[in-house]
Amino acid sequence: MDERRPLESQESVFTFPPTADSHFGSERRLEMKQTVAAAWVLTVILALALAGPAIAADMPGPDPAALWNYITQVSPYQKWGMWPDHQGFQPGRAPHGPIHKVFVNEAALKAEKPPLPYGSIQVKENYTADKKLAAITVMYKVKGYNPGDGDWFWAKYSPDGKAEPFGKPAGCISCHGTRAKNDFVLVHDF
Amino acid sequence: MLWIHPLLQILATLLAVYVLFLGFRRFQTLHLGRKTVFAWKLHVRLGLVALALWLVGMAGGLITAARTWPGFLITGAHAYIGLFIGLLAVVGLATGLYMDRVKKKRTALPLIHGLNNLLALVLAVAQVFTGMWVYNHFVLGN
Repeated sequence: MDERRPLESQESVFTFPPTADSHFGSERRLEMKQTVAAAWVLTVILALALAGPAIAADMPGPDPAALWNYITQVSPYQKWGMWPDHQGFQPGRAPHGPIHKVFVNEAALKAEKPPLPYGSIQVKENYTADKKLAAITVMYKVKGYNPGDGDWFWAKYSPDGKAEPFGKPAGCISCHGTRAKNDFVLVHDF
Repeated sequence: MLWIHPLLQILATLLAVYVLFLGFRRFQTLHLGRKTVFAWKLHVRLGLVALALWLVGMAGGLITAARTWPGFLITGAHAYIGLFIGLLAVVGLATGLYMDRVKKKRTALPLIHGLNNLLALVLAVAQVFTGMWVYNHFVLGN
């Protein structure tokens, strides 16, 4: 075979073997098509298998810096939605300050009943009485992080992103734990 | 309201320390055989105020917790110890008022009264620390 021949000519070797049996040629063609189709299916499956963990890998671990980066850079929380029964500024109480705004990501918003799916994030902007941002408190559902208390990772950030406290703060869990049946969410009724 | 509760309880506790000091004189006379001057009326009056303040403060604390957070026992150990101090305060008031109204020579009841109120005072001091924990976690959110 001349390797410098154009591709079409090379294909003709398979489709038209120099034999008198034309039936054999069509079988070979069918086999080729099936092989190509199978290869495509396998490629798609492989791509999906690889993309799944890659998508999941976008979510941060239970780490305050990674979570802050996620909610401010990767998926800015201010573009998220709000609970339908908790829109805009709402009156608050200690330790969250007198006014707050709550944002929730799509995973949480899609939940129709508790528990919320893993990957759910709720961000609360804590304001002073004169509507000055004082802190940003976040609850993030991470599989296996804290099974006894809803698997929530808690973090309180200053407006510049410094986290303190974070993890499993007793105050957060005690207060939100009063609504453990609502998956520790206080501001929204499922 | 959040600042009234600790202020009230600290005042009551300081007053209780002085009342304990007055009552200790009585203990010395009844159980250690020492001659002392016991300011009966002052002990009763100030004791009444201290115990009443503890009870009012406890009620205020529970109401404040219920109004501020979802549940009046949410502060955990602070709430439960507070309730126990409330019970001790009632016992202290009842025994104290009884001994003041029905005067006669006693040794057991004054000792029970004193130990009961001493326990209340020790727990009240401990409540300063549990209260600081509550303030730090539930008010400041640290």
